[in-house]
Amino acid sequence: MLGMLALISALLNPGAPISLGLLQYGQVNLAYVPGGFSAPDDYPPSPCVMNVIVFDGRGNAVKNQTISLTPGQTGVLKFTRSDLASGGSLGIFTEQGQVENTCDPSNDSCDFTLCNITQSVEIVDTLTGVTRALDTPSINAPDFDQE
Amino acid sequence: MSAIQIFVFVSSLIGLGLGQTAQVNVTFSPLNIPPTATCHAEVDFFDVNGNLIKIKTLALSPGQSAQVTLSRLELAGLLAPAHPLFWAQAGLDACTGDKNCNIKFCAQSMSASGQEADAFGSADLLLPNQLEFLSND
Repeated sequence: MLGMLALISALLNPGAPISLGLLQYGQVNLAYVPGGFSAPDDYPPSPCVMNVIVFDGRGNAVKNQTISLTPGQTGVLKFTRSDLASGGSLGIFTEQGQVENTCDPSNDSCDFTLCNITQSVEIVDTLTGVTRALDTPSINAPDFDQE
Repeated sequence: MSAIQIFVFVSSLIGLGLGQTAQVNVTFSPLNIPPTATCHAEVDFFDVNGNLIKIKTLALSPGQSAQVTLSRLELAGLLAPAHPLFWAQAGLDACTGDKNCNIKFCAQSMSASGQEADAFGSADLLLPNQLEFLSND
């Protein structure tokens, strides 16, 4: 039983739970930072593919988006309290972002962990656009998590 | 075009609200570096489309600090949306032609951070450094 729990936790490792207040929305931002980071002999797939999921307070996946990025590109997934309504009235959510391994298995030089994508989760005031809270969870590399 | 040779700070993508500015602070510690040294730092701001919209180069001596700011107007103009997005990076430029500059010493001495400030200049949000999540070989 414990082994099963450990496996589930490895496969599904969302960030810390946060809640959205009234007149706030949440936003997951991704940016593929260009230049200067890659290892000399290996390279990331092109494009890098990210899968972003937002879960409500009951663990239901309420937003899911697959985003393909090349260096310099960005992606945004926005969600509101109404998107989280199935999880209760508190507006609690968690977020998970993973880089998908899109490398051809026969290509030893392709390494999806070299996808230099930053991730942030903002809680934004609807009226002013001011970010009230910011989380920058690490992006999971699923193949490593399952080891 | 960015000329950063060694990255020290990379923010995540984040938005600016009404009245806010983005700020990147750069400091060179006076420790472990000759007092006559000069270090060439650079701070870059990019918009949501990856366009380099502001670049600032700095020549700093040990112990000196500098702050580079980006306003909403610079980021997205007068017709800015409520929450225009940006990211920032900071690092060291090459020492080209400067005999007082040693990029290895500078790399050991430079630190940088990012923040957002309200209309009064008060910092109200720190921008964590994302460099640890990037494969910075």
